[in-house]
Amino acid sequence: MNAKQLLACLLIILTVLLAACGSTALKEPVQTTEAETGLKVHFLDVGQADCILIQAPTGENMLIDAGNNDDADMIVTYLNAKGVKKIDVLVGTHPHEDHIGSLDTVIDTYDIGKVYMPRVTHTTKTFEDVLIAIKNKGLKIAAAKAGEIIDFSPNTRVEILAPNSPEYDDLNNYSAVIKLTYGNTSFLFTGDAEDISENEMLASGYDLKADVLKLGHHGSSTSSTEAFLAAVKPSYGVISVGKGNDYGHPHEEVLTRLEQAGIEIYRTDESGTVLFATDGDHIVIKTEKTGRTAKDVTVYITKTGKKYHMGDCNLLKDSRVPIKLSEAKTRGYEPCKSCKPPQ
Amino acid sequence: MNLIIDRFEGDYAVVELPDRTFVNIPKKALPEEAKEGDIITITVNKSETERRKDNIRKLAEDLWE
Repeated sequence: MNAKQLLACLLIILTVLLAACGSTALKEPVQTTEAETGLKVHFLDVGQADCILIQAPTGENMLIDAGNNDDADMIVTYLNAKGVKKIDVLVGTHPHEDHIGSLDTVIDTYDIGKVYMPRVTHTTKTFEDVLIAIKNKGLKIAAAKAGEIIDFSPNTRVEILAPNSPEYDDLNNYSAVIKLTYGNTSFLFTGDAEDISENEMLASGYDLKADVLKLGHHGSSTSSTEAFLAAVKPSYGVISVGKGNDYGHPHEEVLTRLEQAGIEIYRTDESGTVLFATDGDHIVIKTEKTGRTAKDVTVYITKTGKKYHMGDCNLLKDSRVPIKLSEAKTRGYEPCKSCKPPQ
Repeated sequence: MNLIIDRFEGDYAVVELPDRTFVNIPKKALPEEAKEGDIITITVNKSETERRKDNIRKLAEDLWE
């Protein structure tokens, strides 16, 4: 083999190797630790409330909402356990107590970078406590509004997609909606934004596509319209909700919409705290409580085939029959080799 | 006592009590115009209480054997 042939040979090997790397399944849950060194998004189980911790691979922390008033101890314990010393970006999506309840404690306890809240006020003592905590720490509030870019961490893009209007009748629609992109993976955090705000986001022409959607307003039917879900097109939906809450959240019609769209659902009332870790390509999901969620993912079978599939599998052209993963396995269906559904 | 309406969820108003705890009050127990952020004052209406006590007492008086 002369030098030219050797070079050609090496080129072929390199091409094959690169092609192999390129065909690695993207954005699928994998049982490896490769994603665990990347970005982490924790949906804390704070009952009927929201609290989301985002940890960048470069060490920055962002906290979106801080549960109810009585979640302060749980949140501080959790953040401490995750090594949080500074919260570089702190977001209060809107002034309702189930989102800002323990913000005052968080502000008092940690070194705080920048605080984002929509430009609207509330009359509760809970909201007053947050303002006093901000004032006492000598901080200012950056107005959260559509189009703002949040400077969080070098490898992430964080954009505010709502609120798009200066005034609403309902505080929920003031919710700061945040899109976080890391590599090829993205997350959409919607606070309690309702259909009015969702329609505004759709009309604004934002790229709403995200792999993981934190459903608006605890899975209430005020939010997550079909059009919005179709635009976000998430693989995973997270519902932050309290067990047996008085408001019927998540509403049945929303769960049906999610199921029909083939979106895998994680609920904090069933799974406890839910962690998404990503290396920018793959997503690994860990739940505090094991069981139901992982077993009862919805997969799809066909009328004649012997395999079960993910909702977006190319092989589902002729028929798609939703079925719980556990049942598919009981009935002897095998995982599709093309779309690689969970096993 | 002053209650502050934090939000509405379905058929309930979620109100903040003076000790910063939260309770649900059915919407229909509140004035129709009540909005998020409104302060609801709860007082004992002494004169109305006396008036009703008198009325019921009068109604009941003739009914006992």
